[in-house]
Amino acid sequence: MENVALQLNHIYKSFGGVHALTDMDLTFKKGEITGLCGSNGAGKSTLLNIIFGVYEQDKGEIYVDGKELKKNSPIIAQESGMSIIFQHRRLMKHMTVAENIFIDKMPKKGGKIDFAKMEADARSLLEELELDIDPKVNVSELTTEESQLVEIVKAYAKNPSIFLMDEPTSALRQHGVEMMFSIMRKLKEKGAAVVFISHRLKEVLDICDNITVIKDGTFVVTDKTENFTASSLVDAMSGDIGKKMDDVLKNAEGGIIKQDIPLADRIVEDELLVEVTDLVTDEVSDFNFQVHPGEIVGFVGLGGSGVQNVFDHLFGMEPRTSGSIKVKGKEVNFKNPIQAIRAGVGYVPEDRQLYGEFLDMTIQDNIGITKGQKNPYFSKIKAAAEKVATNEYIQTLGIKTPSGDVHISSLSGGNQQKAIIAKWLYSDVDLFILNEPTAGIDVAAKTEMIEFIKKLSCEGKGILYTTSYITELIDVSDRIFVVYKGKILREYQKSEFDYNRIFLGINGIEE
Amino acid sequence: MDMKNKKKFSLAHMNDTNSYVLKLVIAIIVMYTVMCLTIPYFADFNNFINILSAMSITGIISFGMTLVILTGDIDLSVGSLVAMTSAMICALVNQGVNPWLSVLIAFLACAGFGLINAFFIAKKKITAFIITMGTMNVARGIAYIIVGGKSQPFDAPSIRYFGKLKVFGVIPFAVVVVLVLLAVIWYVLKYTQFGRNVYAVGNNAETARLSGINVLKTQTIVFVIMGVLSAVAGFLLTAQAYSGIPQAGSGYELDAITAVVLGGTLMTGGSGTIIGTMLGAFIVAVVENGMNLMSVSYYYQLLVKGAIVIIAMVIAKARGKKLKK
Repeated sequence: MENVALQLNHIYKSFGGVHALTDMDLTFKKGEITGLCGSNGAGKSTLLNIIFGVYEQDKGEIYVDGKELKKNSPIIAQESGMSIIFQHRRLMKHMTVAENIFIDKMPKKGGKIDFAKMEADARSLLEELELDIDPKVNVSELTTEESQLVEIVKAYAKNPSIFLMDEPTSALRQHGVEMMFSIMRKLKEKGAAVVFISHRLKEVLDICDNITVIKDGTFVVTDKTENFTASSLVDAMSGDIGKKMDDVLKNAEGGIIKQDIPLADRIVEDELLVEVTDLVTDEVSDFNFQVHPGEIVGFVGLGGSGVQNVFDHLFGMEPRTSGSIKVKGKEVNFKNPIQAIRAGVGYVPEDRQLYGEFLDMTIQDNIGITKGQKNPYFSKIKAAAEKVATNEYIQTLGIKTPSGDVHISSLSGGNQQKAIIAKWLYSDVDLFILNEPTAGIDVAAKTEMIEFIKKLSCEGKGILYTTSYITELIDVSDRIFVVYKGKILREYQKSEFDYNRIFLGINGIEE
Repeated sequence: MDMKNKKKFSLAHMNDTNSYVLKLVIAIIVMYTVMCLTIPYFADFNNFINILSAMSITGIISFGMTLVILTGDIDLSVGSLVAMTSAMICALVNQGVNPWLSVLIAFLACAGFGLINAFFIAKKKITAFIITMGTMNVARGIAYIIVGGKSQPFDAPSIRYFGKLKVFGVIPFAVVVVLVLLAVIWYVLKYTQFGRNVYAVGNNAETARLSGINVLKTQTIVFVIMGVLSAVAGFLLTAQAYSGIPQAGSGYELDAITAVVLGGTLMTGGSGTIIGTMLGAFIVAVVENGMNLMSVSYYYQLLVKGAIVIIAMVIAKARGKKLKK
């Protein structure tokens, strides 16, 4: 047991009744790089946040170097030798690279900061890691890749014995990833335990000594990396998730769930709702796809693949470079969401609270406000009509609320999402762009939401759907486009849907 | 059939803003009663009219400020616009321009300043605090340039008439204007699409944009209304003083912000009422009036006014936290 750096004993954590982690028993050894794998929502980030003291576990103990961390917080975690790199960079933009690296322990001379020594230290550190970055420049002048590397250097400078990395590579390209790998190897040689989370399977297989797979907050398997292949890893990660989803759907059958209506019965073949031809933006190129009324078209790709970007374009949030977008046969070039909405496009953003709703306003106001924009500014709100409509949506969508007059913030996540969809229904849009519509809502509400979205398609609405939950995408979509690095890798018809192939596809691996 | 239940729910769930207004009303009643009993002459009906009259000009400005703060912005230029209005009316009349044409020109100038503020704040996305600090100085400068360093008299009986006018022989014209504006803005905020947009933009500007609200237009209208209301205040002040006063209105922006915050509008925007602002302005006027009657020196009055702002901010902060939950 000498070389155990970090041990987790029976860790439990739940968020508002949802079990995020159950009985997590893990050991991380000194001088080893462990990959932590799991599909979205498996609990990887939650686990790191507990180790680093950001969240407190409900039950269970954390041992560092054989000593229990009775109380934990990010400060205590750092004092006991941990360093963490988050997915999002947290550097001070207007300070130099050197200042950022030594932000919490700047060298001093006679009570003043010794800038010369700090710079020299930073320079030798950067040289040691073979990074060509000037310690004197401001972080704001660095590229995203460079600043991500500085973040890693900053963590490295603390000489950590436990190094936690939560998807540090999403901002890195090939070269940057290699630089990072070499830093990880150096840490490993120094005897640190490195925990590495990445969505890119290839990276995990390349750098890690061991791989631990978790799923739905429970432990699945730990094994040496050489015993895994890309597809066996995907198998371990997906396991019976797909089956579990089916169970949920089956359990609900007879209740909310109705029989799926075949595409042929709802699609309007000879009509096109959306036609995208040769779309080029700053993130994607050669995008071609079409959506018929009554069709649910799924898109899937890792963060930065360009799916979000294309959706944003269709809603007028970003200017496009070239190519053509036609909505209902008419060439469009939306300069803002107002124009998109007029053309019949509605958008449900990924972050509901930040971009989707007015938390301090009533359900009725949230539903009525978009349609109300058609009326003159100083005309009276059509409150009576809105009330009737709101009550109808509360009934038909099953929004659980005593009335439409309460603040939308008093609803549960799933019900808030229904209200947002009701806003677009009330505005009579024909195309629904749904960006992670089931994010942050519980399983039962999720099932209900998916069922509702299918119902929308039966009413002739066209739907563009993206989610990082592949099982969900397979369940809801009529066709799926797999996107990798700004290009459509493949289009799958319903009969060809396969979890593993899609999962490998978003990683750029084609079989 | 569940009528009863619904009623009960809506009462228990009475939103935070309304319950705050209710608390303000209770506080005013208690305060007013105590002051009536302890301060000589305070209970006089004439004194009540004095209080209303004293709050009318800053009250009008604080109505505009409510709209601005509801959208999540701030406007520091209002006091200077009062002075600019006063100076313009005076100078134009003295140049022989028709008095009402002079008033109209001053109003348009203030509306123009509102447009300029909106252009930089809403269109160019520059911090409102800085921009309006700039326009504050520009407008003040214009006022001094027009009439020089000191107040100047002018001669226009038709304007003076409104300075002296008492409706029903008792209520000053300015008080009537306040009450009419209160009713109009209350209606606009509560019942019109524009009013709802104001709340929506302050609540979450990005959601507003993605919901198809013309955020730029909404903010622009708000700043123009603010400019025009400053002009209304400037006109009333000029009519009462019967002269062009380049020093007028200094500190009005802070008085207005005090009234708005005291009235329960959150500085972050999206939540608040015009009735609350009216009550906030009233509280400040009542306290000032009481201190005047007790011959408290102006210097001590400043201390009290400062304390009111701080207390109002502390309450607002606590409420903001509660709302976030």
